[in-house]
Amino acid sequence: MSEFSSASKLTDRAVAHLRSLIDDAPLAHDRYTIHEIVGRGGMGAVYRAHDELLQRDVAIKVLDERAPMSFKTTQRLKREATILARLEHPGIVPVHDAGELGDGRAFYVMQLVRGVRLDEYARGGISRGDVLRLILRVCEIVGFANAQGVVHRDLKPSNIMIGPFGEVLVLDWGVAKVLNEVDGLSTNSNSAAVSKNIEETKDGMVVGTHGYMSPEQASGASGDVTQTADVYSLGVILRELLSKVRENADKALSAIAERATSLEPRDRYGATIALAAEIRRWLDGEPVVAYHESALEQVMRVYRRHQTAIWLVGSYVALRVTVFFWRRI
Amino acid sequence: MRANQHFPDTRESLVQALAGNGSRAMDLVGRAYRVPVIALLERKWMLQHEDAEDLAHEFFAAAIEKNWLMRYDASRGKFRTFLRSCLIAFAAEQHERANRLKRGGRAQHESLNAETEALESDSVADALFDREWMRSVLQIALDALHDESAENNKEIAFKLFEQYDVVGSEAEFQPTYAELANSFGLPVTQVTNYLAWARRRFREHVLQTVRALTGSEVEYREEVRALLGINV
Repeated sequence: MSEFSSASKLTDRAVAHLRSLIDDAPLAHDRYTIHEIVGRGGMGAVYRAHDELLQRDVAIKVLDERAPMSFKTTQRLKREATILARLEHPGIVPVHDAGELGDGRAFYVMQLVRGVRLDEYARGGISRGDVLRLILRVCEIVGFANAQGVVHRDLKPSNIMIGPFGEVLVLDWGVAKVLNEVDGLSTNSNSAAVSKNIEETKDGMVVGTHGYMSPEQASGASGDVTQTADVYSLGVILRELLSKVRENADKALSAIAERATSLEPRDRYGATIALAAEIRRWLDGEPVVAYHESALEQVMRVYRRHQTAIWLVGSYVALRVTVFFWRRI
Repeated sequence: MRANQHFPDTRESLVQALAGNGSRAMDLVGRAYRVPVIALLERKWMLQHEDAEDLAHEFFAAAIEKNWLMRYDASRGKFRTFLRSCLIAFAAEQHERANRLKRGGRAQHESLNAETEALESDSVADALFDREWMRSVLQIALDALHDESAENNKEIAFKLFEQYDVVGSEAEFQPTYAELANSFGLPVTQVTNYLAWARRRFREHVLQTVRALTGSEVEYREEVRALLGINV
């Protein structure tokens, strides 16, 4: 027996750590070396890892070893990877690799995202310009996904990441819903198998985050959940962020958030792209659909929009009038 | 990523190992179960540590002498459960004998049986036994990793593993890879590689140890799942 065997007894803490290594080790096989857990959700854990082959840091999402492993959870993670792989967009984290560990748990490898979550970003206060820029970006990203037939269903500040260069990423597509699966994800045989096998969220099963999910989603009527559910969540986020801005509240922006969070889906914007268009109208000083302004507000808006031109024309007119009367004297 | 390969099912079972190369297999059983046996004796029979050690020694001596472990039938249950049952019976017998001597030979079987039943239902002691068993398995795997590192001129890998994953995991502030690299005079990438190797080998040693302590493939998988929380 070696000298080491006479070493002191392993403590409970060391035993717990060594046990976790036994589980982590398969990930270290061959290509990926695991570092630390960077996030843990209901379904799995996300590790920071190093891809030895391509010499880069990556993130690996694996089903949580502590959660009961079932066919359903395995398929859900695979499905998430499949959805992400389909959504090639700069605002959606790309998937590099996917597979199963030796113990049967599914995993997928994705770009390691560095940045600050929106909830943390906005904690110390945020400018209105920043809010609108971020919401517009998220609207574009989610709009892209919606156009691919994918509804995120769990939009909230903690699922939005702002990178060091101001880039915006929408994370965690674990509970995303695929609309019209026949035409969407299931056009290839693999994803078709996944889509058929996965037990989709049936009516009565609520997924998402309370406070951000739409009423139809919260009621468990998954059949009624469409892209307007994402509009609702974005409206909640917009309202929440606007409450933190340093500038005075703006009635038109509040009305946009209100319309986005209408209880009835038909009363909301039909898509996040429509919400984005509405915000752009406000930014451009144009009237917004959600708010009926008074004559005075209309004048003030036009004034704000053409402030420079009005001042220039006014100054010019004043100058001409002054010259006109000066010559008369 | 490569999936784990199962060992061939035609491997030697614990029973065969005990029959064929008894001393080596018995040595492993002793190393894996000595501490759990002492812990169980201390917990269930409220023995002092020295007395528990003595009784554990007697138990293993009797097990070898009377070939108790050879009676183990893998189809009827886990080896760990079997050994614990043997221990409880042995300890109860010793306890009864000691009481009989104290009472001048007057036996009181009913009260003793009741006491033994109460002891057998001690789930805390059983959990302690299992926990110490797992600790012993990890220690054996650690020893094996140490030996393997020495044989393959990878002592640094073991030292890094010890510093980061054993000592480091107990410390309030686990050293970073960069700190280890600095302390060992290695590039960080080399630390990463050594640790990856050591962890991979440690896992194999743990699984091999559990395998060597079980009587069948089914039992092996059940033990790994029950005690380590993973599927193999």
